[in-house]
Amino acid sequence: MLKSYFKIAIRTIRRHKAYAFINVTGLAVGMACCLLILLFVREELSYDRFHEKADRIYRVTWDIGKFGKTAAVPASMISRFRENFPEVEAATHLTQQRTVIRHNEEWMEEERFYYTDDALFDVFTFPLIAGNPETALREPNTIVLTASTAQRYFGDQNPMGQTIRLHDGTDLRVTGVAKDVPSNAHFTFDALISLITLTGAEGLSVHDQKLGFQGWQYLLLTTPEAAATVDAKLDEIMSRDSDAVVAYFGWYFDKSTFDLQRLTDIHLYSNLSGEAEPNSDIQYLYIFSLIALFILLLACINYMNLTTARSVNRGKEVGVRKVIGAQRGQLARQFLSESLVLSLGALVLAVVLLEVLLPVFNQLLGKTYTLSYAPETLGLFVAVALLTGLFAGSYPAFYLARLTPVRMLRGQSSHGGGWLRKTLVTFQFAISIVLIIATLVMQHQLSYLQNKRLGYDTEQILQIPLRGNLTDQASVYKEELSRLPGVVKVSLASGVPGRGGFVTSYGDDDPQRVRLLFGDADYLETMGMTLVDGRNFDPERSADTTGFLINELGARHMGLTDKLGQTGAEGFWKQADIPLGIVSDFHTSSLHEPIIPTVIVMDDGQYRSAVLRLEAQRVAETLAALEAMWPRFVPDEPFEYLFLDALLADQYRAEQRLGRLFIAFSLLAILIACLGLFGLVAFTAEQRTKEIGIRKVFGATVASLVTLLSKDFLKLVVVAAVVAAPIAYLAVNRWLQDFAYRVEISWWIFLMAGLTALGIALLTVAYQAIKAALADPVESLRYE
Amino acid sequence: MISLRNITKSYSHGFSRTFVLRRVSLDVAEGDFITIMGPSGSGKSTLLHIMGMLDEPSSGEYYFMGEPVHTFSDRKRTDLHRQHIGFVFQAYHLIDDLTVYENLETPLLYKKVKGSERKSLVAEMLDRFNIVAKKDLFPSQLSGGQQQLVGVARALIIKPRLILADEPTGNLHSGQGDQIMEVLKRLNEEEGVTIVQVTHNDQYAAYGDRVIELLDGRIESDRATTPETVEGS
Repeated sequence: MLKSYFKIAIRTIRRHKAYAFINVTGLAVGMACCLLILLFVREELSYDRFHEKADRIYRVTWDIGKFGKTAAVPASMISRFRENFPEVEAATHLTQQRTVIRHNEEWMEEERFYYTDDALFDVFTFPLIAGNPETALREPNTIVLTASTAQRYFGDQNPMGQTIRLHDGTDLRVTGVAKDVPSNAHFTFDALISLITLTGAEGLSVHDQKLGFQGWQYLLLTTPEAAATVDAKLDEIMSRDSDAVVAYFGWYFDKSTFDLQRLTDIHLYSNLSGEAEPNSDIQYLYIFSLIALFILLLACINYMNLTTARSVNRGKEVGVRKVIGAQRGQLARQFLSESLVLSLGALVLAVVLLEVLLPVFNQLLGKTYTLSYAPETLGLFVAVALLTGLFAGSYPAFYLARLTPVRMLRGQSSHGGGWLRKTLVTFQFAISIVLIIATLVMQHQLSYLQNKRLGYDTEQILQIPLRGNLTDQASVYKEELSRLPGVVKVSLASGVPGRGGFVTSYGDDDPQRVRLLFGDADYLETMGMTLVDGRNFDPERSADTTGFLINELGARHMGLTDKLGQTGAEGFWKQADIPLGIVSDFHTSSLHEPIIPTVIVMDDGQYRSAVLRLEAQRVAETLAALEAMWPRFVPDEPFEYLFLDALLADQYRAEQRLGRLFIAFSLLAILIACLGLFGLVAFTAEQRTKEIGIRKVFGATVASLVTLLSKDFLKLVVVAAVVAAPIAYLAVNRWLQDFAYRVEISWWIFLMAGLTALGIALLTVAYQAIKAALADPVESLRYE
Repeated sequence: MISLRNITKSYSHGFSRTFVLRRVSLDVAEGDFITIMGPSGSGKSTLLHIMGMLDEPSSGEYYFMGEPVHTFSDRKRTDLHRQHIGFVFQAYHLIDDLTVYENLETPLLYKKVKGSERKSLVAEMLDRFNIVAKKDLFPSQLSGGQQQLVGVARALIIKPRLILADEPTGNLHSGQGDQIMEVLKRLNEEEGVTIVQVTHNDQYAAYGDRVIELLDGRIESDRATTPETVEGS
């Protein structure tokens, strides 16, 4: 019986090629999309689960009240965990330092070299290919490389016992080779350097007071449930030692607490400051899964609509089969097998599409997925195809199986299902329009983010970090820089806004955050910031080190607008307590965050960068000159620089990715919806051939016939737009809430989305409608 | 075999009702060969469909081999009809996507007949109707008469007790029509299969032993085609 079902299915598909083509293409595109996102979701959910003891591993986080929560904790905490907690089986500390390596006369800036101890191998599952995990990181100046790092440095030589030289001349001996870290890990290292190299023999506890020595701490607990106990004990210790903590770290650590975070939650649920690498967000999984589901649903709807629309043709067969003894169930099964055959065929096409789309997807998401045909992946694929086939086929199957034989045998068409088809088409277009609106708003917001005036110039602004002993001869360096022909202006500073400086607080009762930047008298001019009141620093007045510049918002909040030049303002830095001038508000972080009070202080000891404004016409040659000049000042470090506009562009990479994905998804949604519409219109036109013939004979014009055929469908698109608008508004508005600065969702976006959908639908319908309207009436009438 | 009591079939259109059959009562005995005649719209086909359990009467009782069909569920009716009733149609109604062989096999598939038995039954039918050579052809490749032969063979393959034929010769020219009627006649006489046919053709009506005339949904006359049958209704 089954064999016969499939045989019939294949013959039917072959006989109705156009119809099968539309269905298979639609389903394949939908499935490819869905599979792609499934692979993505599966990968995202698998993060850090490759560790054998993943369920017992926790990360320590630090909640510093008003200053937020951070993933990095003070180094000395590790000894508390090791000594005071029987629930902790092993604890490891990881930290990062800027690592520049001198290798074969070349500078290598390594961003993924971590300092840690051998407890890392007790907590995590990072197998060593060579070396002993117990001892590899025990001694100072030892390093464990991953296989690919070893390959990079030593090629095919045996890396064990070789040395790697840091820029300060320290030689690190290779004591182990680890397998490469899987891509689904929340942090990825290229090498591990023994922590003792950094701390010296006295260990971590000495670094307590410095706070600069923060790092990530991971605990392996005896049982997963012990986390609650450890958490409670931590709270107890912190509240008991509250005064000691404050005395130790400073008043703003009052009420700070430590918490445990499940390792497997980090990638999707953790977005703290000081993460080792940027994490993902579970919200994206929800959004993408929803979109995948919707796109697949669109394809399924196409199938349902086209199949039920063809019920007139299939109806005769249903009638005959019922007469010769078919039961409803048997017929339903037959139609289901047809949809299964189609969906399996679509799967093959989907996999081909997947191979084509994967590089694009990787590029959009910044991932490096490859398609592996492991049994479980194939199983997943087939499962998706079968479910799709069953779902798409279920309604048509029961619809067709329910047809009464008598009516069908008499050739009466069934008019049922028309309203459902209309609803489904409306639904399809509503989804498409929601996606179009979302895309438009996102692009609007993205361009707003990129074009908003930030309160300073962003082009041709270059930051050069002051390395080595350059901080000591910064003024000499600045002098030389300003003499270069392509350099318009130079300033020494903590950095461009958003880089460097730090956040402190003002007000004793209710402390508020205030951002502290350091810059010399040339900072405002270099950055193109506007002074609105008072005066700038004057390099001739040495007393100006006791003054500060403040932004408008800060001046307003602190009531300094009419106190310029007077002493007695709250000091934010050393003895700087005279507000000298007010600077027009400028952004120091991404537009997700509102502007906060910001203060600029002139302090020679705090300059970490030279900030340059370059002449636009000669950027390349100026860069070359800068690089040539560098080794005279810092022979033992590479020349590095950063353009402000590149830095700013980086801030919204996640949003840009999302934006690009939405463009792709809306295009697909529209494509699928139009494919379905195309089929449906073709079918309607075919059914109405006779009517069109008669109308033509009685003098109908082509235009009136096209209108006749298109009107109904276009009405649906209009209804869809009306349905889609409020849904899209709510969704998009929620997304926009993530930004402190955002665009208005204006009416023209809805209008544009609606018109786009209508236009595309019109093109789709018009082709078929015109074709039908132009047909020779004699032909169509004789056909009867 | 069949006993219809006060069968009425009507459709409502808004506030008005159209009656297709009005209180029709009719008995068909095992082995009968009955012809239903009447002008278009007199309810012949509807009556045939009700007998074949393809359609339900609006009211009235229907006993098939003593069983009260009017009380049965859809599924049970389907069971009954596929066990005992074969259909032959004016437009043949073969399944276009299936070969002759497969068309014959399909009713057996629905009856869940085993593969080997299916094969022999189909072979027997092909042989009996002399269409072995055509078994791999599709209906569109056959002449009308050949298609109708397949239609009859398909109706017979489940070994029905009753064959309902709705103008089986309507689309055929006379030579082919005669051939089909001969087949039906032989079935009735040699195998005792009960046959009810609808026809417009007086000559073919004579193949049966009883003619029922319908007019406006009522039985106008019910007479034997041979002298010994008593006239009446």
